[in-house]
Amino acid sequence: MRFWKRLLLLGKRRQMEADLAEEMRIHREMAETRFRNEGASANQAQHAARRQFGNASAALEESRDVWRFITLEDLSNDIRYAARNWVRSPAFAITVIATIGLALGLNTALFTAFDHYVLRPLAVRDPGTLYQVEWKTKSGAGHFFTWEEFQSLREQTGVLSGSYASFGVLGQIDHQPAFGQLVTPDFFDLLGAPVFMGRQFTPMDAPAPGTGAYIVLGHNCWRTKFGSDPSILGRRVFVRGQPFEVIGVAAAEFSGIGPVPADFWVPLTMYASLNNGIDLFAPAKTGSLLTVVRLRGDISLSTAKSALLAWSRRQTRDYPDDQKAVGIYLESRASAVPFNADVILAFAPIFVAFGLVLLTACANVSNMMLARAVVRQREIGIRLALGAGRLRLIRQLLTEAFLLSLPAALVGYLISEVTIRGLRELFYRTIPARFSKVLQFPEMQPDYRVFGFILLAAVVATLLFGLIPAIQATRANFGSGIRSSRLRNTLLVAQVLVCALLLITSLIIFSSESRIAKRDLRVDPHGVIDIRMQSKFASRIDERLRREPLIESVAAVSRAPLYGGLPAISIGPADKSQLFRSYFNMVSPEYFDVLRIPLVSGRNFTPAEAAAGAAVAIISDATARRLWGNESALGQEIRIVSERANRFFASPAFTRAQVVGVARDVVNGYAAEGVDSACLYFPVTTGNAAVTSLLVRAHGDAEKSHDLIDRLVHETAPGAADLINPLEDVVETQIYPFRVLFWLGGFLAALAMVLVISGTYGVLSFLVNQRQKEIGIRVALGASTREVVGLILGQSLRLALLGAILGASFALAVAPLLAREIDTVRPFEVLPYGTAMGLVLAAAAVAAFVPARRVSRLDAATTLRSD
Amino acid sequence: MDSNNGTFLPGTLEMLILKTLSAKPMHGYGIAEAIRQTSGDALRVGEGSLYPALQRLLIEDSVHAEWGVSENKRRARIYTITASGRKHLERERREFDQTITGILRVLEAQ
Repeated sequence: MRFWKRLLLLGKRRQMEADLAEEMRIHREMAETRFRNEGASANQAQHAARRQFGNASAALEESRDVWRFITLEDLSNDIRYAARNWVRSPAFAITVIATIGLALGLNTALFTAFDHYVLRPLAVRDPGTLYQVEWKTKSGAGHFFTWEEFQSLREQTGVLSGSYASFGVLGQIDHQPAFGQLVTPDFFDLLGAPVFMGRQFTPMDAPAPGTGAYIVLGHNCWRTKFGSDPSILGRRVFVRGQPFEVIGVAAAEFSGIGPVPADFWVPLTMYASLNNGIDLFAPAKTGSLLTVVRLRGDISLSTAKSALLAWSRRQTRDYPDDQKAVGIYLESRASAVPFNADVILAFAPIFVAFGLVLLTACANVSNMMLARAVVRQREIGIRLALGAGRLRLIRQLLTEAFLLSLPAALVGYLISEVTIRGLRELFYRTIPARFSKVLQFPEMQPDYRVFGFILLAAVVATLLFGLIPAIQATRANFGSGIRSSRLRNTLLVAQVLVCALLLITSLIIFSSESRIAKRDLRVDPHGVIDIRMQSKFASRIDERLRREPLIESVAAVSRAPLYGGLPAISIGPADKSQLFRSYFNMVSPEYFDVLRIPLVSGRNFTPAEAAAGAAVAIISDATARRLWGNESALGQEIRIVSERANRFFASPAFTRAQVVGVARDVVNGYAAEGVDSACLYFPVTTGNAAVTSLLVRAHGDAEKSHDLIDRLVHETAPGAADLINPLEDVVETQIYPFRVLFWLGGFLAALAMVLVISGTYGVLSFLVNQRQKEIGIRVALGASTREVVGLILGQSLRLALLGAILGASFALAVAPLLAREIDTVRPFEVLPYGTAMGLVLAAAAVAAFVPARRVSRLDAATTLRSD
Repeated sequence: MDSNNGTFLPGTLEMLILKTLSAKPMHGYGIAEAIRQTSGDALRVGEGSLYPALQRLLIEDSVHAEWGVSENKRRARIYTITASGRKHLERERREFDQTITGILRVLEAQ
């Protein structure tokens, strides 16, 4: 009530002061008049009135005090007092700062990543108006644009002020793996992206298809792949075996649109020379372009959406029904990753896990502060008795907490920097070597949002760990026990709960990961190397490699296996109408030998079939059983339903194929998904445009043969190979994300466990101190040491058990969600739950050990005499 | 003089002000004079404590202040007791009586 009134009066403060001063002046005048009437001289009267009034300004000051909040003086007193307090107990202060700082640091590191991808606006003009456009078909699939469709979109100037189209390229730039973008030549003009050196290309540089062999390098690419060469401009570099002239280097703050930073940009007019000679600009049935538009400033998002939806419907009017547009999707490109519900949902579990650690740290410190408050009970009691208001004391205790939150924020910041640096180091050390050049750890710089976050988090943490103890400690009946010990126990149980939850979750992930790692792929990737390139180089390289004695065999494929799911088509027996989805690949006859896939029955493709791309197929065992049950599949005919194909992989040219062989079931896609449910192989040779990779089996040491192959390929066709990867590394990379998840979960759980141990230890030591007398009496009355120790251990284990059970029940709710995301996760395995609960209980027992031992050494007589 | 400033029990000054105002609205100087005269010069309200007390009462909504004209036609800030002020006075009065009775019992005990 008073508080609100004061708040209201805050605005009228000046008026109130003026009123008060005026009123006092009048008061003095009246007093003067009275004195004069009583016969004193004017001078005397004034003097007397002044004297009677006392010191005018002091009175004014005191009156003001009534409606002010806290004066600076009070605040500086609070701070001085608090600082003195911490200086007196530095160990306690350091423990608090370290605990909170650690948790803050981890959360800040996470937030830095979130900020880097989601919050930070791109360094381009007006990033808020940039949207990626896609229309959706009935099946919900997104859509890549053909050149024709893009031209039509471009004309929608009623809602757009500009647009560009792009196509991602993964290839080598000067013999080093790089990821770049083919973009329409107006890309840089449209974005207003900053340049570091040289210039960017414009439509004038690339007026027609096939022209514009210019390249703009990303700053990071220039720095790491060209050693920050200051004379790079004008130099000729090779991308996918094609020469380009370097005309510029982009500014460091611009790394392209989208989550993956681009190493280079080249004009889209060069599409054919980087994509097997395919003419992008000729009429096409299949799209491959990603399209980003800039909305006009005077158009709202919903208007733009409805206008573009109408346009997409018109555009697809003559398309087959399953390809007609039924919806439009505009995704903001203001930041690397759009800030929307999906992204937040994806980030949420990680944020929750990290947030829980921060909460645990707060609970831990809260408990320490409570314990300390009991020790300071006498001091607080005296201050209360001397007339200090309760609010005043709470303020004092909160000031003490706040004083620690600032150094904690500083420590947190340092820890977050160290964490990010450590993670980068760990990433490059643990990821399979061949991928460390392709997959890059982002350069994350903290900005004002990160500093704002850490300060805010520090203040919130302070309130969390400072407020409860402050309120509790200033209660008149504090220390009478029950209430504060119940609070302490609740906080402890909460810590154990979080620890158990994190531990169970990460063990579930670990068990899933080890299951995948141990899975038999039924192919032999050992000694096989994948060389990805444009098909036009394949024959030349194939021929050169076959001459090398160290190389056992070479196979051509339209899609290298084990990089994730193969493309799929619909198939069925020729004489029935039933259809189902099956993976497929086009392979040369050597494929089965290179990967050691035995044929169960039938024969391999003949060289003639391979050269002609004949309408024959080898099917996997599972496919054969699914199509013809126990009947022999050999000689049977398969119906293939041709769909609107995709630019990213070639489909067979025929609609019927004869089965010539049956191959063993193997893993061609994700190790996590296991053996292919169905798979078809069609014949191909190196001359075919569908070929994207050569698979090479070499004798001897993998590292040596890798270097040999790298050298041979580069000699034959400079810069032609996009990737040269040992298949074993590819498999490793598949498992890598699971490993990262496990490490992350395990690390957080370990941290939570340290907090549980220190928390339990703190509370029990305190308890032992407080109950010394009681325990002394028990011992004096004949309790054995064992009984007394049991009392302390029992107390600790009861709480830990409760926390562990609660944590396990939470995990039971969370694990099925995890299983929905990852196939190999088994949410209800006993082992992770049992192990985690056992570990938590063991931790509690360890933490209880020292206090319990202290109890066992208590001397009853001494204890009872003391105090 | 502020000689009796410290001798007021906490809250007593507010009670005296409210009591004085319950007779009729008055300005600050008037209140001080009234208390002095009614108490037969025994209680001199230190004006240095009068105004802080008035501010407290204002914030509690026990009194209400408005600029007006005093009996001798001069500008003055006139204080009026509010309904909640009267309640406050009653309560204070009861508590004060109890305290005084208690003190007297102690003093007169044999």
